[in-house]
Amino acid sequence: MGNMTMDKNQQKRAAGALLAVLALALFAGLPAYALEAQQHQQTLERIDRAINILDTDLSAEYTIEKRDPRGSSSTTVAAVFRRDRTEQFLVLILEPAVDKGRGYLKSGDNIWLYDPADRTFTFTSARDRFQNSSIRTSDFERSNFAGNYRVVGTDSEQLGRFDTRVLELEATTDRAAFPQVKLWVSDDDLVRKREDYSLSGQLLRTTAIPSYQRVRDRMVPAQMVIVDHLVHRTVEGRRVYERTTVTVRNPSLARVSDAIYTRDYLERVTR
Amino acid sequence: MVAYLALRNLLLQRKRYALMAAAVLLGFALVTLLTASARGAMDTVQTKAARYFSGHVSITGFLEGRQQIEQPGPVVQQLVNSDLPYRTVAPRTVYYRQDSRLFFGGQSIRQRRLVGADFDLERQELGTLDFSAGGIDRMQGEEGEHGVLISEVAANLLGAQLGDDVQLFLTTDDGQPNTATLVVHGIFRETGIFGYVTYMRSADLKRLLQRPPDAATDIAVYVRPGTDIPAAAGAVRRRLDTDFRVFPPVLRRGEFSSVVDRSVEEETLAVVSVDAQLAEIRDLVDAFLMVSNFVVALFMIIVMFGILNTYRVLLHQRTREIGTMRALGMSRGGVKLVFLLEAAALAVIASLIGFLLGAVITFLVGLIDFGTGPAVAMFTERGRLQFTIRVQAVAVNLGLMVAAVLFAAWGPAHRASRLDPVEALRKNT
Repeated sequence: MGNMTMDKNQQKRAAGALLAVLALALFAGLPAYALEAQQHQQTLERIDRAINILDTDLSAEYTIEKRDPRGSSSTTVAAVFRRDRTEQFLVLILEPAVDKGRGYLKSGDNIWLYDPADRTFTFTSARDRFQNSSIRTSDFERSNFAGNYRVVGTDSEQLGRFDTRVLELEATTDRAAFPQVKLWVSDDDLVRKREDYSLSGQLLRTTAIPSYQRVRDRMVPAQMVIVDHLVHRTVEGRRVYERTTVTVRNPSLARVSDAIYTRDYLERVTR
Repeated sequence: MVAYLALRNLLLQRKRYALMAAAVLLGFALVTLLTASARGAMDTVQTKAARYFSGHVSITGFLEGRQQIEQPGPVVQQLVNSDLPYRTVAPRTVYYRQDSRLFFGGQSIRQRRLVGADFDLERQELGTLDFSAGGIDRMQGEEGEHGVLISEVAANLLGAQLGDDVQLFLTTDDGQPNTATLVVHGIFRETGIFGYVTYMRSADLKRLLQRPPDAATDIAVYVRPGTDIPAAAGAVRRRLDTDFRVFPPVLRRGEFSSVVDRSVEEETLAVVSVDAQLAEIRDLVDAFLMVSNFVVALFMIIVMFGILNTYRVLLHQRTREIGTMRALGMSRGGVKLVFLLEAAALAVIASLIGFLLGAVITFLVGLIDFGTGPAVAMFTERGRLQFTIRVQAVAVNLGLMVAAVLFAAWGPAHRASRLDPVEALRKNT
């Protein structure tokens, strides 16, 4: 009977000790977890800062070459104006001739699509395909990884000549264009590769940004290759995907007129 | 006696009546063809539209801008326990946004509508789809999981065949993109506005949209053949009005936005008949019917004038016969009745033969394959015009034809009854 009482006391002590260790681990781990989350947040903010241009405008000529899995290709040339500070952009199609004058204008929370054929503006979504290519309208928007995502996993990987951190992101708001994103970020906080996934976890597209160009003190992508994983076909046992190559030419950080980011401008420029 | 005389005279005078009979016969055959084809076309459109718009009567729920019925079970139960002339009542989940796409073989096609259906409940209704490959059986039970029925237009554009895995892209209510790999279990022939639709299991669609498993967007009510659909919609609405919040009646699709406030703070149901959805198409069919009725009316007027003139001649030729009848004691009314009965018998017999001729013509026209062009396909089933011959319509047409003939014969018959028997017997003709 005495032995039994001793056993119970021992059990109580052991349980108490275990609880103490757990509490210690919890209290020690929480700050570590919070610190890690904070670090991840800072990483995302650095990535946004590296991509966004907040003090002036960015204007450039984008050449978008789309090659579908059946082998046919098309080229679109567009003038792009971005003002990240006010979250505005204007994309004006220059080529092909049939689409010349079409424009995408982001003003406030709305993205307008202008059709010069019937001179009408219609709403479009940030998630819509740009000119039926693999590019989404959201790709022209200001980057906001820090505001729209949280890091749920990290890794490191050698990507060609780059040592990269791999960040697995999960959307925290409905504004995010994709619910899950994976980023490969080089030491200079530039995104070198990106994978976008659907809610079900299916890979939708892969974007590779092999080269950036320096414009004054800022880095602007020189070329991007986007592989659309939804548009594919099997040729001789091999999957061939739709591939879109975006070449950014003549980038400029010169400030442009406020009038550029208006519906009036789109209407005037096509007359 | 008068009826016997009338029928005997009709037989004896058959050569004189032949032309009139032919006119009535052709007229009735034309009427039969026009009304049967217009009614058949409308029935075909209604059948297709009922599949597309969630039943002959569709019930849709709205709450704070969302289109959703959180608990469709009690609504379904309410209808099933009623004495409404329904055939099928089934909850559906319909994806109304226009951004869904099917991907296959390097191609993609935007779908106007994704319909998530319960294939066990809607077996009878969706079984009427014209499948060129596969069928609805494959969508039932566990085999139907992750299955999809696509239109032939979509299949041809994608190059997809039965058993192929296609990718479906859509966005959730929160705007997040989602995808699924679905197996093609059926390819159906459907073009026009009802063509760009994809049918899949309701459970699969709700999972993709991250909606509650019990929820639905619509409840499809299919009524029994011959039911007055707008009246049924009214009855459904009144029935639901006792236990649920229901919007005022929506009589035309164009009124929807003015009647239905999507932002209501308490779930409210909208009841819309397929006729309201098809108001524009119904207007088209009604216009066709109006034109055909005008043609028929014109034809009847010609027939009436023909009968009037023929009867005048006939009476002139049969003056002595009238005199004999009168001399033998037949009253003026009796003489008039004989001639009117002759005309009525002529109209009935010629109309019935005309009806049979019209039925044969509709059967033959029904054998012609008009193809699957978008304009034609809306009104045809499997490329062929469908004809609906309703007893009620035939009776009305017959009544009108007899009335027209009697109206035309009335004047000459009246004049015949006024003839003096002695004068009539003196006539040489």
